[in-house]
Amino acid sequence: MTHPLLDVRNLKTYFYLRRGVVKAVDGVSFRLNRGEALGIVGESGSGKTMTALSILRLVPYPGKIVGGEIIFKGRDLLKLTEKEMRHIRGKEISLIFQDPQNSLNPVFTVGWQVGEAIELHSEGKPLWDRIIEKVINILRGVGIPRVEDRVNDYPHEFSGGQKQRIMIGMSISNNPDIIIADEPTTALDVTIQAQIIDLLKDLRSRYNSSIILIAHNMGLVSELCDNVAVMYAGRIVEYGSIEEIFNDPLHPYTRMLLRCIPRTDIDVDKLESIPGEPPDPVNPPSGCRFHPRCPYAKEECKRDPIYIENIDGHMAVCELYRR
Amino acid sequence: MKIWEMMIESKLFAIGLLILIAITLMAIFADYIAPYDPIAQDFKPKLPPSPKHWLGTDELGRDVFSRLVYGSRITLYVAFVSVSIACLLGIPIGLIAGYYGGKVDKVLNFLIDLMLSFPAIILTILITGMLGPSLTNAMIAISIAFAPRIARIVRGQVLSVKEEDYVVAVKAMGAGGFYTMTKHVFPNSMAPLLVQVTLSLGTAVLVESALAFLGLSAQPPTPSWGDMLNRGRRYIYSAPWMLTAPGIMITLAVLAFNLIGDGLRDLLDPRLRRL
Repeated sequence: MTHPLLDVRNLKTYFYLRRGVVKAVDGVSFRLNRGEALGIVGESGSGKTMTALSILRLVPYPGKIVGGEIIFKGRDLLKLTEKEMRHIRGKEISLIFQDPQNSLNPVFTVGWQVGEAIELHSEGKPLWDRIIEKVINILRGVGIPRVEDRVNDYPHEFSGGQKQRIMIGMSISNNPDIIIADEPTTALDVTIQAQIIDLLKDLRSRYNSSIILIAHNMGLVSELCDNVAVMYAGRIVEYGSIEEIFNDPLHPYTRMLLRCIPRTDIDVDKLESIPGEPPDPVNPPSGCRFHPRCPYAKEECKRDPIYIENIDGHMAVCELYRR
Repeated sequence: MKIWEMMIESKLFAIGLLILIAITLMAIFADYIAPYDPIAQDFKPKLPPSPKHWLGTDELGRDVFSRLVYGSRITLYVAFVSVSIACLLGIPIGLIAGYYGGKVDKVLNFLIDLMLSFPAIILTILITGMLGPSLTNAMIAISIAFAPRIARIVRGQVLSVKEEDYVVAVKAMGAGGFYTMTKHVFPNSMAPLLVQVTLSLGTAVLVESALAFLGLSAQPPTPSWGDMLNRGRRYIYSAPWMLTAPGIMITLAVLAFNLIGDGLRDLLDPRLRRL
């Protein structure tokens, strides 16, 4: 068996607040192979973004990675020095943010900023003209029209969709092995969303990069990803290939998430929603964290739930499957 | 935005800038504008204003207008030099405190608060009192008094800017902490700093004049507005022109900086900015 490109094992990222410890990421494990696209799906606050930031070791204060391993190309990222980590960020693993309106620095031109991303990982000091040449190629590649005229424009002169294209251009500028896209379409119009997903698909086939797509929407993930991990309250509750998750969801939470996708092929009066509220992050429920909202909950769910996995790697953590 | 557009946009900014330009020209071309030597005691004392002496003469027989013109040099010199030094001290402290946070911030912020618990004028009098009265010491005192004010503004801005997505994005691109701080956080913290610096220039004029008034700044016979004010005080009934002229100039200079500062605040405020 070949080694996965990225192997996250039992990752724990906790936030130490005055009123208690928030276990934002609490024992998350997954693998990502070269060229694979993995979707991480969950509600707001389920720890998806913190998982992504933990991989790059950019967890904001007062958060801390307190346990686990992140094996990337045979090295544990959690054991690298800050300087070594800087060579990983942007060069081997890059990140695309949710809100393109805010992810470009307003005081610099976009050409300069994409160029900066290249320059940060260049040996020696390449000529700026050469960098700009590269920038123009990259921006043309992500579908910015009339690039030559626009490299010296400022971020506010671009639309949201274009800014996200620029961010994507920035993130691929050093041909990274992994692109982490943190809800890259949430802040965009529906029509633009489809274009951005198409662009990611296109780039994936062109560069053979692995992608981790973070989303709260199953529909979006199904467009791009091979495998899906469903997160709830800091834990992965189900993992499997896109077909398995869609055709045979095991965890009640996954089933309910799938029912939340708006459908036009059947006649429904109103959109489905999941009853109840996400758990209090400081005092999560014992055992399976979904049990207070789960329609199938039993007394046993308050203890640690059973972990099942079939031969295809379809995994779920749920007491329903205890025999 | 071009300075022209800014002047059209804000009338107060334009007025302040024009006054400042006038005072600056006066300081630069003092040798050509002043009709007499500002130090030479060539005339009868306490002559009232006349075509020969526009603003009269002082108690030692020196031309008040000439002294006023040369006095602008001291005022502008002290204001710009001391505020620049205050920036050189305050900006790095504010950047480091705001950006690195934690214990570093706690210590630096405590020191800033400690300094700010003294009014600027008391602190400057204290420092010049300790160092001895001279122009250089007055500038050192003003710099030290103003540095924590600059630092606090920068720190506050940095605290909000460093949470912006684009700062995290730059770090996610592999930029180091120092690089991110100086190249990305600082330029985005500039707007309120610019306003504060301009307003500080006005306060520096006032503080310098007060120090000169108390004899703690430039020493006689160097012409300075504060010193002229102090001399005039003694002859307020017999020769009111000695006091009025430097008083008006100090007011105008402070007003100019305050108008520019307020104008900048409006112009740089994105909510008020017309698209």
